[in-house]
Amino acid sequence: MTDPQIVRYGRSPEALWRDAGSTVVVTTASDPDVHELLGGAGLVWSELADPRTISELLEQLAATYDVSGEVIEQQVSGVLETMRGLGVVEEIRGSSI
Amino acid sequence: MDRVSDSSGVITQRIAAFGLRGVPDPERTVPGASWPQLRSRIRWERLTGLAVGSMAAGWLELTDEQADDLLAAHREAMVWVLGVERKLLRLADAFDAEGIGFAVLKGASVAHTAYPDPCLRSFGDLDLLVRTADYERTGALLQSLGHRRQRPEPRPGWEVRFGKASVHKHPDDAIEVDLHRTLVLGPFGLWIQPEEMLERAVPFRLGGREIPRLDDTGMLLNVAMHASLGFRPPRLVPLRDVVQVSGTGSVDWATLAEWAGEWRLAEVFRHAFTTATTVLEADMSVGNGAFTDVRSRRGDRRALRAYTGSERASGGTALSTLQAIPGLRRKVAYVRALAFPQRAFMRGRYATGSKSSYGRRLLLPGRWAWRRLVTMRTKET
Repeated sequence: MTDPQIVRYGRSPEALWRDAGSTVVVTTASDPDVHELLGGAGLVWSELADPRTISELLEQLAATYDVSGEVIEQQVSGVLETMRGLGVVEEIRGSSI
Repeated sequence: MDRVSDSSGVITQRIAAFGLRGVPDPERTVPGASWPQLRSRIRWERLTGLAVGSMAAGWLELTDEQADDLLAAHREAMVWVLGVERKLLRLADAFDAEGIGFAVLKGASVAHTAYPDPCLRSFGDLDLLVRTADYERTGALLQSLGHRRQRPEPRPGWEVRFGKASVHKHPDDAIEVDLHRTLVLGPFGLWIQPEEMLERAVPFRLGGREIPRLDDTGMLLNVAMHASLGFRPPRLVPLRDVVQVSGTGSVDWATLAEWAGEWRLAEVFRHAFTTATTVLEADMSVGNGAFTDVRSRRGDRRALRAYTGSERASGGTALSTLQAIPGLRRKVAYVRALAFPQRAFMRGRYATGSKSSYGRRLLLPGRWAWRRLVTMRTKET
């Protein structure tokens, strides 16, 4: 049974990316630029190795970096939106419950 | 510069071997004052990924400044790699639209399949293998997409008969696209059957689509030939590739041994495997003795020396190619094209000046013979 209301975020299969040590670099076939995911964006990318809901993401980041999920929620949402705009992160609707 | 005689050379070799099965982490290494030389070697050998891994593992100890330096170099390498992969995806679409079958050689295909993490394997250009029958129209396709061929062939049609590849670049990105019809120049390139390798091509996933590559058996043949017959002395990444690909568990050693016999590659494989395991101090299991019964033919060692010995600098490859070409008419065509190439080739190969004259070119065989005589006399004394 799937719940279409559940929205997860995951790395787009169309993303080309590399871990460059202190940063992550990403692009897609149609993007003329290569982008650097710095700081929090790099951390979010790292957590998206498996698709996650925003809640799961906030919970994981809060636990790993000892911050409050509420404090970082706006930033994380903004980062996800930016990465979706670049085409490197996709929304995945509905998953088994 | 002799890779093994100075400390930065030794450290670079250890970096190239980092993470190979059976190779323990070296003892703690502090480059100190040799860092500038080490950094240059790491960049030239395209080892930034393995160097970052070595640093993270703790055996390569860098100061904060040196670490920043290395990470900056690695970032630059990874940005370039993404540009190459982006180009590969675009060309794959274009080739598919024209019905041109191809396979990616080395680079992205090795990084994404044979290495545990593609960040460990940098590459600078794109090598694509097509069938000989498709070679010229693929070159025309690249041209229609805005690429410029870097050097004309000696005479029209020379490459599909005797050549290996052509280099193409687009002015917007400066990424080299090496379009291959075979894997190496010279006799070994003529003896192998690349179409047979293309028929065994398998896909790897990149950017949401499947891209064809040589299967692991073909890939090992390719990297072994590149390691043995390419740069002299061999560069470290090709040697690492040989050990890395051989350990994927998917190499069909029986087929590789068959190819070694049919395509006269036994000496090449022995040279590649021995050099890789010696330089990297790594173990390599070579298919449970699959090569034990593979015999070299007369002339195979001489052909190998044309690439790996001092003969390389004195026409070795050209002479051994001439010996390998079957039939007098084809031999004459080969020699005529090299002795009297088209003007566009001369302009592309030589800067303006006296070197560009045909007369000077015809004197080359004489200069090669003289160089060989001097080398022989030096060895005697």
